[in-house]
Amino acid sequence: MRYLKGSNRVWQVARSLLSVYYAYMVEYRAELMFWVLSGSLPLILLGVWTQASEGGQFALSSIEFARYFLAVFITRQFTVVWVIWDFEKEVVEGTLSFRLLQPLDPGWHHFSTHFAERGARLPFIFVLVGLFAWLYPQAIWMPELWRLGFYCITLLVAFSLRFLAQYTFAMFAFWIERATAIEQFWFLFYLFLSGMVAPLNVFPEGIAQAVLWTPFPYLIYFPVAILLGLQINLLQGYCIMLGWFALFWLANRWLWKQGLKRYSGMGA
Amino acid sequence: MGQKQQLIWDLPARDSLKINAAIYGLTDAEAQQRIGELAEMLFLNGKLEQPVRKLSLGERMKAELLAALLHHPEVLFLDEPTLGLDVNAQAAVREFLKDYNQQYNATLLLTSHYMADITALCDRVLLIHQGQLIYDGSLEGLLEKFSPCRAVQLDFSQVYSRDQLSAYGQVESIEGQSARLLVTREKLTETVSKVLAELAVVDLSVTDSPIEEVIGQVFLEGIV
Repeated sequence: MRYLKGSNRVWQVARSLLSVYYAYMVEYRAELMFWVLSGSLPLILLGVWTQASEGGQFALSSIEFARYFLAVFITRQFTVVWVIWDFEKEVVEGTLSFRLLQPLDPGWHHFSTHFAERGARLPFIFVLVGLFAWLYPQAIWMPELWRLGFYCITLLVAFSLRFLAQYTFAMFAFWIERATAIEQFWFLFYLFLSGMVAPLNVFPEGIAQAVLWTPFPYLIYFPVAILLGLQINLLQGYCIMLGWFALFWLANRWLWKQGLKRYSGMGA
Repeated sequence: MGQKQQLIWDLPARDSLKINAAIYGLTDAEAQQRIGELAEMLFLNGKLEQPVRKLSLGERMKAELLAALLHHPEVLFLDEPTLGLDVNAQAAVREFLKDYNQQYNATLLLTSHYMADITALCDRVLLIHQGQLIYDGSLEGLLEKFSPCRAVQLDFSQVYSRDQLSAYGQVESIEGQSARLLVTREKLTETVSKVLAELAVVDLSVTDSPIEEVIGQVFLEGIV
């Protein structure tokens, strides 16, 4: 028998998961357009904040607001996560049983689906960014290459953190019928504290400082600030981000082990 | 393998197989060879390129089997593998499982409400009733233990009464010139000879009680 081992096997698993799940996501290309559009709240807020900044005193100018919300839109597109809905369905319907039989943590299936979806989503993002360039030509800018590099790395970590946080909440599906309720509650804080509705620069100083210790700004504001060159403490930001990542990871693994003891895979 | 599906609904089955092959560390060549072999045994050639949602239930079950067996498991757990399939598809799945068992020397653990699955596939039967193991042994042993009689179907050239026939065994039914007797296995040869010698027999056949009847009776009476 010819079996693959070590790094060859890891590479083959990653390649197969990504290529198959990419094909899977492309099957939903029509729906993808609507999913992308459903994340266009930052583009609406862009209009609101640029108008507001022209008539008031804010930390950012109207052009900076336009750039900020464009960057928020892109960041949001690359960090969208829905694992809790999929995982909850697997637990409730018992289809998780199949995944448990395989020598691969089921989380990798979900992570690959999300990662591959980013590729399928890309053309739609380009179209909307092109539309933005047409509507706000004065706001178009070219960030320095090193900023772009840091942004991409931070975006990857932000996506992983968002995924891990939601996957951790998903573990509660072992105990409750609708774990998605937890995510919906979390989303309220995510919406306001991540910088999606307003940049942290417009928050009162004390609140902004306190929020920086939560995971929320690292999901959107932090990568956006890197891309735009807003004032942030890079080292502290990465440390807090990694700290939250470690915390969610430990919680996730503990809940997974405890949850599996309860899982019965009814009707599977 | 159970009633839930592992194949990705909107993609061809071959894509799901690609993931399974990678997860179990099969090289591309090895995976292709196994898929080819199993697809041939399951008569799935040409079906693996179609989206799973377009396959019939029987084809989908067979494709699920293929996905479950790609890494050649030594123990196979099957939960109602023929549930909902038409007669031909049931027979095809049974035949395949039998072949797989023989070819790869794999252990099959099977739960089924279809007795045809049991008679076709099982060397050893475990009968569980209300959480208690009430039998563990061969299928023949089960019949001997719970159905000690064999059925003798007789067609006569004249009508016989129940009293006349009861001397040969337990009369299960009489209908015109036909009758069905239940005779213990020990007395079967002797009884058949006697019937042929003493009665006007046109046709005679000996059968076991249907396995469904035997097991149904066991569950009904709760024999332990």
